[in-house]
Amino acid sequence: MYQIVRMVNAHDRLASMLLAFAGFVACQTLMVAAFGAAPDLPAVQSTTLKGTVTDSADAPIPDAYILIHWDSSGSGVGLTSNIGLKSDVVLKSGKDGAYAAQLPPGFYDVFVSAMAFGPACRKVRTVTGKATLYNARLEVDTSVTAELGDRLSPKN
Amino acid sequence: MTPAGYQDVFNQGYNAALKDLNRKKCGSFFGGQGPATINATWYRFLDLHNPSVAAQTNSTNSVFINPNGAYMTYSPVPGQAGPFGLFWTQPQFRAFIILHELGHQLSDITGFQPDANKAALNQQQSQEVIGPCIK
Repeated sequence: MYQIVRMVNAHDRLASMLLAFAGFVACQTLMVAAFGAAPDLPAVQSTTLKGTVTDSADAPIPDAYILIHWDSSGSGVGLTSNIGLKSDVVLKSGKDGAYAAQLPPGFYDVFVSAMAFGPACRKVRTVTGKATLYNARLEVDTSVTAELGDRLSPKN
Repeated sequence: MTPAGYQDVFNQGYNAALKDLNRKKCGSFFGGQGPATINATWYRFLDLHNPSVAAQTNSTNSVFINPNGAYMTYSPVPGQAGPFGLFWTQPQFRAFIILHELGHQLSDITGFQPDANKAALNQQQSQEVIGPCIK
């Protein structure tokens, strides 16, 4: 049957989280490699950024492209709670439109896009011990409709 | 993806389209790929911000249907010909819209080209569907 409702796919979400966390771990590994055992490095706690991508009718959008870019504001001038990641994190939403990423605490710009929809973006703040939620609701993009929309009047 | 409020009207067009595709000439026009393709398609009912737009095909498995467009607003007037000079029931007309979009989804087979803002091409491609599938 045609697609109506998508079930929660835990594997998809887990894969997304692992992908994001791999970048985080790689970053930490590099830091340890650069600074040796680094006993003075603060223990980096991970935070969770998660949400769901839907259309304007609240139906989930699977395979939406999600890019998470760290905003380093303040990190060079003493704001120790903005740790961030130097590499962007890229995810895809699961079959239920859900996504999740484990990230160091910080400011992030989250960009969400999907075929034929206008993109959405927002700056989010992740903090240790609390999941940050960003649900992206995408609207149909009129410029795409202008080129792909089939004009058919009930009377023509 | 079809919101509950549109499920019945969607099923009406979808089931009628499947029946049309079972006709040999219609099935052949889509290279025998019609049923499998519409079965795998994500149909979304979304406001396309223009009531003259009936539907929009984005890829081989993504189609938007305008809840303010002809799929929803067409209703036959007794004794009066409808679009393309034909007497359509609502299910037939809805099936036709699904099949026209299917022509775009399977453009490698049907040769369909994007026809937004190209009335003559839209008419021509519509007739290519009507011939084997509707008449």
